[in-house]
Amino acid sequence: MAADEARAPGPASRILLVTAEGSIQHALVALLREHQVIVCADPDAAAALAARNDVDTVICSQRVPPLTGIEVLRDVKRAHARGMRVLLSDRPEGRLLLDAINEVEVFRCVDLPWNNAAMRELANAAARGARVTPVLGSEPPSSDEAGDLKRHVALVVIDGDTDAQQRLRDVLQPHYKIHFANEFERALVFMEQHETGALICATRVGRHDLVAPLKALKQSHPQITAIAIDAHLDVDLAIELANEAQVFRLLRRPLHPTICRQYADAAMVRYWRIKQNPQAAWRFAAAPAHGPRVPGQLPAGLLNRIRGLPGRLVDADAAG
Amino acid sequence: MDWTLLLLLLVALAAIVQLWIALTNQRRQTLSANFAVEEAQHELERLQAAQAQTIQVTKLAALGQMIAGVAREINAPLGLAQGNIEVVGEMLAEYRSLVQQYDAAVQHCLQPVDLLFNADKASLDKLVKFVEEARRKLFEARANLENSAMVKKTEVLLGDSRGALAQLSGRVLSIKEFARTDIDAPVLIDIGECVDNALALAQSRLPERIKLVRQISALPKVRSVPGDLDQVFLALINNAAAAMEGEGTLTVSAKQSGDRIEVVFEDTGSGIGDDILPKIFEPFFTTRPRGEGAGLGLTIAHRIIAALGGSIQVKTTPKHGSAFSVSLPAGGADGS
Repeated sequence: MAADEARAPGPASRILLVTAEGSIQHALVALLREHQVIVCADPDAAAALAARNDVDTVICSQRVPPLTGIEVLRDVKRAHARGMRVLLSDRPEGRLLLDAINEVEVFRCVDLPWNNAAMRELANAAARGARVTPVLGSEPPSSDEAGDLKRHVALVVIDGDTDAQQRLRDVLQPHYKIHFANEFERALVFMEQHETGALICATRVGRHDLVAPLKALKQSHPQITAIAIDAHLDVDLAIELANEAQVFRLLRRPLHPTICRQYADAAMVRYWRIKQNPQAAWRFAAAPAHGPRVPGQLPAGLLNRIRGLPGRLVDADAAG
Repeated sequence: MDWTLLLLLLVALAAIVQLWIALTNQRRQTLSANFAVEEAQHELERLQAAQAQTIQVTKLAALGQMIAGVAREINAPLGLAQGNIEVVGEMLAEYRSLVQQYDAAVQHCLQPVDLLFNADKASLDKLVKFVEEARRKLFEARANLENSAMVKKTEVLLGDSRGALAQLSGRVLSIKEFARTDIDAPVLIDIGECVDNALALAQSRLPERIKLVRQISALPKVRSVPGDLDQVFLALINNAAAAMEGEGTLTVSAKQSGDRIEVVFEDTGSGIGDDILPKIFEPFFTTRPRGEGAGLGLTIAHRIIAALGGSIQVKTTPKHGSAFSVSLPAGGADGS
């Protein structure tokens, strides 16, 4: 996906704003006045309202008594999958962000107070994602598809923990072409030569922080689904991973084999569906990196290699 | 006879010498005791000063631990006000553009007036059309101005910003109240305000999954050094929050019971085990991971409350929660 195109002003869209807080309501309606903003203070009615109005984006406060923002967005995901989901939270906790990423598949998680320019950019990107791209099904692949997946598409694991590697090997190797690496550069050598559908990546290996290369990868290749592994579940890091690396799932250590298998299956299916509908890659566009780990800090050679990975999608315009 | 007298004199002399020695010893002991008393007095004063300093240091350490949360609490209303001001600025520019359109329409209407006096019939017809078009433009521009919701919206945004700044100011006052060192003698203090200050400071430690119930009506004031009760309540709130890993409720209630005020902090958390309960007021005892607490919160709380003539009692049921009850004498003689 061309980065400039992703940042260009998007079409005016229809946004459902779910919040019980008047000040947030007034501020966002005024800020996003170029879009049609429907305000909903009743969290129980939000999902139906989103479907009835066929909204492009649902922005929901975490505090919407008697429900939580996660519960509302979970309902929205079921009732109106096309809608891009954005969570607003002023006191995020690690477990909240885990749910936001793993269950709700949020497009963005916004920590209050928002930045006006970033919020407008977000609304435009969400509008583009919702309007341009088809909704991907999550049904399991047919037996033929599963065979193709296993033969042609690899799953790459980058982790320095040998126990975790062994655990993942036991649970995933029978089902996927899997490659293990303990450095991003080594994984890259493999990815340059093999079509890679999903990446399971620790946020840190030894002294090396892998968040910046992960962001660089996702910003250039949104079709590759990423599962991040973090030991401590740091809140700021989780927000960065959700927004700027668009991670598909976030795992905590110690790794649970069943959950790893479920997430890896879902990640590979997601890649397969994007491969069939390359335009859908827009839905998973990462936000421009503002956090402390910026791809621009990476050595130029590494960054160029990440950006230069073959797209292997049918529609080159969508995944550039 | 002379020998007897001499013997008696010698005995008397010995007794006098012995008495003198005893007196000297006693005097030395008295001096020594006085010195010891003086030393003890100095030591007591030094300990009292050290204790006051420990309370202050612990208070600031607690504030330091909360600083990230407090910064977030301050940042949210500040960010809202800042964002609203930006949007109001944009809206004013948009409104100014509507006013300019209206001005242009007025100017457009005024143009034919000069031509009117020298007009022939064809020109008049043309003029009528021009005037009709000008009127339409004028009405449209005027309607745009009248119908614009921008003025109303900017009023709302500025009102919200005012509210956010007031909230911010409240937070800053809470911190100031908590950290104040200018008054070190007890004064009459409102219990409800102390609870609110502590709750405001602890807000970042109270995630949304924890429901907060506040049941405090008007009560007589109590005597305390400003900030000390906030510190006690903050420690109890932080402990309650830490005890509730999932969803839970923290109920803070206060009532008068005879000449005493009782404040209760009741949580629905994990409770305290029998093995831990006897140690909770001991200095440096903590169940939290290293770096998350010095283990002085309850120790200092206990000392502060004891110094005010009060007490702290705990009722706990493992897996169901705990209730910390702080009892204090009601304030002034008139009960005010």
